[in-house]
Amino acid sequence: MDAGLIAIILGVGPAFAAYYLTAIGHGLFEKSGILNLAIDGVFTVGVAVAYVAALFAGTAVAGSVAALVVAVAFGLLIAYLATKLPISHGAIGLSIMFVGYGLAALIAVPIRSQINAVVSYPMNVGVDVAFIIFSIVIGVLVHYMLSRTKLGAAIRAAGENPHAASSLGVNVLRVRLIAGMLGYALIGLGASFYFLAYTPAPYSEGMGMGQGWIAFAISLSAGRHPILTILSALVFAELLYNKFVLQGYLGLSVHITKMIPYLAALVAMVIFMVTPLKRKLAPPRALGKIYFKEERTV
Amino acid sequence: MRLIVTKRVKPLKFGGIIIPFLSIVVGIFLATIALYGLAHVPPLLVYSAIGQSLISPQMLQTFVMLTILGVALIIPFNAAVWNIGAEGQIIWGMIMSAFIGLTVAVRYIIVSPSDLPKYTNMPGMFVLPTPTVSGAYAVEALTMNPGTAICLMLIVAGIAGAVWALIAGLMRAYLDIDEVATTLIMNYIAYYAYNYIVYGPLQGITISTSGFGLSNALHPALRFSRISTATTATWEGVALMIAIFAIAWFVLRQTTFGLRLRILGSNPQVLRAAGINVRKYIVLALTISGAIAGLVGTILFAGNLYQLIKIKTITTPPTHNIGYTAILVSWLSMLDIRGVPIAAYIVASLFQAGINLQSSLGGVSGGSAMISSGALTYVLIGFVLTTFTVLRVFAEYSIKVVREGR
Repeated sequence: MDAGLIAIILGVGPAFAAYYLTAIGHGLFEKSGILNLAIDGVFTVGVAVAYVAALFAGTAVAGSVAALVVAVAFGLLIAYLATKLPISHGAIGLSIMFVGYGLAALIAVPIRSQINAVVSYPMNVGVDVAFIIFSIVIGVLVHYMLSRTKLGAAIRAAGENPHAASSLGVNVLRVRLIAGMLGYALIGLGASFYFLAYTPAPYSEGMGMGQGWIAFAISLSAGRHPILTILSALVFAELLYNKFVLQGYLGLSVHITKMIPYLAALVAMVIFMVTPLKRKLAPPRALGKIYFKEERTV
Repeated sequence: MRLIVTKRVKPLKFGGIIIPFLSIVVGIFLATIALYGLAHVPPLLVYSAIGQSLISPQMLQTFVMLTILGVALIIPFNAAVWNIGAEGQIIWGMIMSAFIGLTVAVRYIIVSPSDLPKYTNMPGMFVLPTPTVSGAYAVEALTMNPGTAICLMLIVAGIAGAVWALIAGLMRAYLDIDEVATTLIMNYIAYYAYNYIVYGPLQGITISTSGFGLSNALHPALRFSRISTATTATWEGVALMIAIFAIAWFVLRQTTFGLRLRILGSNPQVLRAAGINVRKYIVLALTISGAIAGLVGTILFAGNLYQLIKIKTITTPPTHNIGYTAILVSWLSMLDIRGVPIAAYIVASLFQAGINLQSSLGGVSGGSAMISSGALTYVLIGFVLTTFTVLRVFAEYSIKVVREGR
């Protein structure tokens, strides 16, 4: 194979890292039993924060760190509210999504209208490979944590049956806060890679909107399994990364190529639900259920 | 310090009124802090924008659309089926209204510039303002009675919205795929389909529209009639709002169908035990909701815009995200249809406040003037929604704070 072709194949690295990390972060959080509908709003905030922080610090790494910290704050807030209060997970998630959409514009638009510059990760094949390796290592670590460690067992228990877990000595609130922190750290990291490595263009309002939902579908179609998510994230990243190829070779309209990932997201969810995958990788049983202990301190 | 959460024996007295109002006050306060802290928007500017919008006649059209959409969403919400896809359903309503209004109900007569004066004053003819690519002018001539055409627009838009929602309904009912995710993802599909259509099948034929992502303009005889010049609200829109509200109230409150929908929301096991096909009700709830949202597409197209205009960025669709805003209306009404118009009035004011605030940002330093009205509305609505979601707990639960070491 010639070097050009290899570069094209590996060029998917940043897109893959962005969607993969966001998707496994989402899956990790949902494993603890909290329905995560705030993902798209926090992803949009993550993009805005990454842009501003990288610009001011002059280095892309600072952008990633800042996006991670802000996303973790959101994750802790959601985990706390959804566990501590008898509150609808769907309602709190969507509300925070709207807050996120609004805050992203407040954070980034004023800066963008004053400074016309972007600080991003360097773009070359070496960096692309580094992104792929980094994200897969994180994925394997998350998988190991979930399936082999005490913390992973506690997270899964909190997602399957928090009442039983609690009576066996698991501190459901603490476990869900940890899951929210780790999960949203990955979502923030993914959002920063989306902007700083995959599409580093001058910020425009609404950047990143809708991408969180694609990550949501990537995670769902792989049953929230960190290793299987590698496959679904790769398929989506290729679809998005090669949209110009689709446009050129298949003669598709630009509007249709932008639509394809969303169509693919729907199809992926259907495939997951109609095949035996659904039974093998069933969603956590307490996902989205209000965790409320009658007449007791929580 | 720890929290003790106890379920109330009876719901909080007047909770349905106190909690929404408290949420609005606290939510707006939090939004003001965010606006000041992040974008240096002076709080007084925010409050005056909200104050103005409460009595502004411009918000009437928003109120009409939000009331209809609030009703549209409250039907599935009562059944615990979450239709977040009103945006997409409105978009399809607009597209299909435009299809009827711009192709079926009119035909285009191409006339040379020298023949144009004959047509300009001819009754029933509408000359498109700019010439076509070939230099000739296009004249729209009605092919049917305007009343029939408007009815047709509404019917087709309703069907389009219903079909769009039906897809998500079937996926939820038969495959158990969360409708929140599918309806949301389908909004994006609808946006891009809309853009494809305004650059493709429904693009205009004149030099200023063709290839610019604009459709032809709607024939004036097919446009809804405005109530007054001070507002964009239309008689047809108001009539539809009253009719839809009355019918929905009757169906939800007075029929077995409505009762079953509400039981589906509170205790689906009872319905299953009674041998009722739960799937059918899930599908119906979403389909009816989509049909009503589709009608809003016609109200927007034939009442306000008269033309399909491309979506430049995903934050600025022609709907101004009203389909999302309507979620706040139905939640603030505490899922009681009688509360929908009140909630719609408040939210329409917030929605208008976003627009008013945007236009008064010119003097704010630091580039904040570039923030879109859509984003400002998101900030206001997001904080009110979040506060409400949290405070709502107090209606049914009491929360005590206890010091540690008792």
